[in-house]
Formats: sequence, structure tokens, C-alpha cells
Amino acid sequence: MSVQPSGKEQWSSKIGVILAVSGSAVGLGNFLRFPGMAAAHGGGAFMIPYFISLLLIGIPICWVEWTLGRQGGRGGFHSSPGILHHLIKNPVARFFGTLGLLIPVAIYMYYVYIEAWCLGYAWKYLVGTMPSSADASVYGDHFNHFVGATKNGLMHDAVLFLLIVFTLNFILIYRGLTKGIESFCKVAMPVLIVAAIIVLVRVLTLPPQPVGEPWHIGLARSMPAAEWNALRSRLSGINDKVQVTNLILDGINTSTAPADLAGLADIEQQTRDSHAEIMKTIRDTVEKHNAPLSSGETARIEMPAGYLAGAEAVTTALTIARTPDVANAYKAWVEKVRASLDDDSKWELIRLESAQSGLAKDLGSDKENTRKKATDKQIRYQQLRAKILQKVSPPPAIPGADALVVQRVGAAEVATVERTVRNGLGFMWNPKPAEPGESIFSALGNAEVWLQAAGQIFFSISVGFGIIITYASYLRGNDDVALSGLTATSTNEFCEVCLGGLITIPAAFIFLGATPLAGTPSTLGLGFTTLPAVFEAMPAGRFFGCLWFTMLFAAAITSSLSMLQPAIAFLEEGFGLQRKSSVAMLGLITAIGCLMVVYFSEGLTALDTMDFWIGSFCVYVMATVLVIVFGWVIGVDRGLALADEGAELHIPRFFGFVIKYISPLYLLIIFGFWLYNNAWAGIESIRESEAKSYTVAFLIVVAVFFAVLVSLAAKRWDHAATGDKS
Amino acid sequence: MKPIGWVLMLVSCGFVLSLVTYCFWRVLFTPGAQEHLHAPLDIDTGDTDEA
Repeated sequence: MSVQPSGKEQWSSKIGVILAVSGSAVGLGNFLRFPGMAAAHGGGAFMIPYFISLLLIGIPICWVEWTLGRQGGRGGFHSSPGILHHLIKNPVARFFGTLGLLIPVAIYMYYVYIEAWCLGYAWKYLVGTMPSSADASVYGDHFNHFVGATKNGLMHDAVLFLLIVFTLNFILIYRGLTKGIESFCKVAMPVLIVAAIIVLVRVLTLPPQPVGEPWHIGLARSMPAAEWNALRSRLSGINDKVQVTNLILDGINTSTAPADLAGLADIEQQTRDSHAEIMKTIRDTVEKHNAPLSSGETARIEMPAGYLAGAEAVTTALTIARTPDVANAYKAWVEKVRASLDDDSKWELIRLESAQSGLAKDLGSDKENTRKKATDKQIRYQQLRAKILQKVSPPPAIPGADALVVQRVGAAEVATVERTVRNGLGFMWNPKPAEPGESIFSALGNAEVWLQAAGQIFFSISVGFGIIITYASYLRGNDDVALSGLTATSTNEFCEVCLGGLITIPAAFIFLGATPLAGTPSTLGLGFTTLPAVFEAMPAGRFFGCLWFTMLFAAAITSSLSMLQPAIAFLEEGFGLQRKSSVAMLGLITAIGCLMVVYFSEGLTALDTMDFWIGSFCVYVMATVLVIVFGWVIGVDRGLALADEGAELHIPRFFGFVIKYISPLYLLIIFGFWLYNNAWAGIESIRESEAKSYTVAFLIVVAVFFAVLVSLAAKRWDHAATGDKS
Repeated sequence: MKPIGWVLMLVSCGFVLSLVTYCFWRVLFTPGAQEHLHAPLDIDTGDTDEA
């Protein structure tokens, strides 16, 4: 007679299952990728394609992948090529499985770098070397230097942590010591969720942060006259160089000059260097002024951001603030205009200014720009500028300053919104128009928003990665797939929407204001530039910061360890390699990829490129393949019957219709729109960027390599099958 | 925060909370569920040193 587990033991096992599911579900994407993604693609409006994607493709394809994986495992196959080879007798099918190898391996290449950031930040909090400043922009500068976002190369601080993380991952994978990690994560992940809730409560209870004065007004009013005049004189001297080089550039007929005109690049670089020197001087001076002040004091001065950090604004600012009396008169005018504008107008101004700043930045830094594109951008820039000037009534005459430019600078300054929790939540959740002046749901007309929403669902719940299909192949025949998949998905969504969606962007808004966020916030870097500012404001912030980033590291490592299993399984079953040999081969491939991500780190270009083409595009294609296989090749009735075997939750039958017709149609329509509207621009952007070109070329090489391996493996499988029959 | 923003936020969070509560309730109150439910964290791939 078998011994039944006691009630207490059963409960303990059930809790263990929930913890394991939580651990599998929580990842970096919940807190780092989703918030920036939503904020950059329509805010609250993004949730519409997001939830539609979750219901029509995320959950259904999750079930599809679990079911196909378990079925493939019954045939003795554990990798995507093998499983598709087993399920579909068409020889072409196995090559679609190549995506199931490329995707997790390529994602691993940049995922471990982000994992290294988490470890690095946790270490810095532990040993106390994390910058401690009430100025939130300090963390942005620190992050950029830490990860090498300021320039390409290998000598970034984060590289040391990458070496540690990469080595640790491979030691664990090589020796197969995943059970220890599993036990650790069953505790660590729920702790992460609790830590996230604590941070959430902290963020939602933050007092309003006052908006400081612009630097040119604040310094003119607070510094002793002699000191301010000396600073102005120094800045003006450098700024004159910027003006001279700009005059030279303006004098060049850009419509006829060759793109590689001798000396042009040098002149442009001189301009950038001079402006960078000005910005550093201003920031150092503001930092020194703000140092003795707490974050809530009204005497604080704002760091220049957005348009106000540009050369044109600096020129005008130096004229406006020539004396405290002129600065005071200007300030009075700005405050009068600000009081006359409603919040909607201010938000529109913020978006206009951000769009214009983005264009100006593109024009300044785009080295391989075509002349036509420059002209198109100039026209757009002028259109936006005219719209801004319409909103702000003419200022009183400021001696020596161009009235139109003053109006422009003033527009950037009047568009300040109170930094409260409500406005922070509003920045995240209010629907944002695609272009200033359009309907609040106009973002839904952009196919890229739908593609990104679907991609975020896939990335977040790891559907279409080739990972779930591999792990599901190791299940027993009577193991559940439906409730397991749904529970993992729903836990993930809780972390993403209820925690990630309420923490990162509102916290960033409260401490940084709207201007740095109104453009396209870096989806992954945001958590590393905003959360430190939150922790700085918290009691025991250093402890919470260390705890938070340690837990993020733990969440990341459970994901990264699972990313290599699909390729390991393929090499084992395709070539009879042992686990250790497979791991060694993968180590070499991923090390090259990691080097590429680290080297082309300026603007995180290689990382973002891989994230889009693999983490969104390829995952999208893979998910489409899987749902078509399930719905049309295996047949939805047979597929649902397979899913029901051992199931603790029976999938509602209407999902059969969804999987067969709605999901593929939804995916193909969005993909078609994206191809029509955005594909060419995406390809153009690759051609215009050296870093993007190399990254995409590398991914293609890896894809071809895997395809060749699949071809060779398939011959072995066919040979083995023939041998079995004879 | 505009009314539409509140609606989007509350509906989104409410839906997700309802779904996760339902799933956890099913796991906790379905007899024997723990025998057949797995996550990648606790699935044995059979090829490790610990297998």
C-alpha cells in the first residue's frame, strides 16, 4: 500500500510549485524592458495591443509550445529542429527549428551583459561605491560610463562583471549544477516580488519633487556677481568656438557638398567637443550648488536637459542671464506664461520639444546621412519649431537676444509639469498620441506598436524562444501543460503590469522630470538610471538597492541558464555530443557574440539591434511557425486533445478557433503592416550604421551555421530512423 | 493622470490580479495538482551531473 503524503506535505508541495513557477516567470523584462517599451509606444494606449496580444497569441501560443514540446519529447527529441522533424514529415520543417536555436543563443549574448550590470550594481551598493547624489542625472552619467554607452570599445567597468557572470554561467551549465540554483531561486524569486512591492509602496508614497530653476537663471541669481560673470565669460569663450564652427557648417552648401568633404568631420567633432566642455562645466557648477541641498528643496537648480542642453539654448541662456536683473525679468515672464498654460498644452509642448531635440540630435550625429534625409529632417524640425512658437506668446525684448530664439528657450522652460506620483503614473498610463496634435489613440495606427507589443509578450513569457518547447519535451506523458503555462504567464503579467508598470516610469518622472523621458527612453537602461534615484531617497536605500539588484541578478541568471539548454539538447541529439562538449562549443559562439555587444556599446547599439531583430522579429516568426504547426499541420482538435492529457485545467474549446484562425491571422496582419511601413526604414538604419551592420551580419552567420548543423543532424536522424526500420 | 489613464491602469491591473488569483487558487485547491505541475526551474533534463 503506497503512503499518501500528509495534508501538510501536500500544501508544502503546492507552495513549492507556485514558487517554482514564480521563479521561472520573473525576469528582467518585467522591470526593465516593459516600462520603457510601453512609455515609448503610446503609454496607456500600448496596453490595448498588449492585452490583445496576450489573449490572442501569448496564452494560446504558450499552450501550443508546451504541448508541442511534450509531444516531441515522446518521440525522444528535445530541440526545436528535432521536435519539428518528429512532428512534421516535411524535410523543410526542421529548418524552421533553426530559429529555436538562434533565438535563445543570440539573446543570451546580450542578456548576460545586462545580467552583469545587475551584479555590478549590487556589488557597488554592497561595498558603497555607488554614487550618492540627490541629482538624479548623476545616475544616468554613471550608467552610461559603466556600460560603455558613451563610446565603443572594450574598456568599460561592466566588462569585469561580464567576465564573472559569463564564467559563472558556463561553470554551472558545464557541470550541470542547476539544482542548487533551482533551490536558491525558489526562495529568491518570491523575495524579489516582495522587494518589488516594497519599492512600489515607496514610489507611490513619494512626496512631490519640486522643479528647480533652469541653470542660467538659478546660477545668475544665486552666485556672487563676480563668480557668475567669470563663469559666463568662460562659457561664452567656449561657446564662441561653437558658433564659429556652426557658421562654417551653415556656410557649406549641404545639398551639393560631398558627404566626405575634407575637414567636415573634424569641424563637426570640434563643435561636439566644445559643446561637451560647456555641458560639463555647467553640470559641475550645478552639482556643486545642489550638493548641500536635499532633493526636496526649492533652491535646487535643474541640470540642462532636452532642448535646453543644446547649443542654441546655451547661446541664448548666456545672453538672458547677463545680469541678475535681466534674469529676474526673464524668470517673471516664464512664470507668467507657465501659469497661463493648461496641462494639456504643457504636455504637447514637452512632446514637441522632445521630437525636435531628437531630430536635432539625429542631424548632428548621423555621419552617413543622405542629403535628402537631412533636408526632410530640416523641414520637419522647422515645422515643429513653428508649432511650438504658436503656443508661447512673444516675450518682452531681451537686449541682445534673438526674440524668436528666446521664445523657443522659454517654451522649453514653461513646459514643466508638477513632479507628483499622479503625474508620474499619468506619464506611464495616459495614452500618448503618435505625433503631437494627433488623437490619443493614434499610436494604435502604427504597426510597429503592435509588433512591439506582441514582441514584449513573447519576450516576457518566453514564448517563441525555443526554450519552453525544449523544457516541455522532458515532461512525462501525464504532466500538466495547461495550468502550468497559464500560471507562469499570469505570474509574469503580475510582475510586469502591476509591479514593473507602476514603479520604473513613475519613479523616473518624479526624479528626472518629463523632458528626458518624453523621447524614446532606453528600454533596458531606464531601470539602472531611475531606481538608484529612488533608493537614494529611501531610508536604508543602500540596503534596498543591494537587495533589489541582487534579486534582479538572480532573476536574470535563472533565465540565462535556461537559454542554452535548447542548443545543448540539439547538439546532444543531433550529433551524439555529450553535454560538456556541447557547452564548450556554445561557449565559443556566445563569447564572440558577447564581445560584439560589448565592443559596439556606444548608445547600446549592438544590444538594441540584437534585441529587436532577435528578441522581437525572430521570436515573432518562430511563434507564427509554432501556431501554424499546431493549428494546421497537427490539427487543432488533435492538438487540444494532446494538451488535455494530464491537464489540471482544460483549455476552453473556443481557443481552438483562436489558435487555428485568429492567432495566425493576427500575427500575419501585423507582420504584413510592419513589412509595408517599417521594414525598409529598419533595413536602411542597418545600412547607415556600422555597428548595426556588423551585428546583423554576425547574426546571419550564426543562423547559417545552425542551419548547416540542422541539415547534418537531420541526416543522422533519418539514417537512425531507417536503421530502426530495417 | 487623466480619467482614461485611470481606467487603463485599473482595468489592466485588475485583470492581471484576477487571472493570477484564479491560477493560484486552482493550484492550491486542486487535489494532486502538485504532482503534475512543473516549471522549467524544476524540470530534469536528464543529462546533468546531478541526474
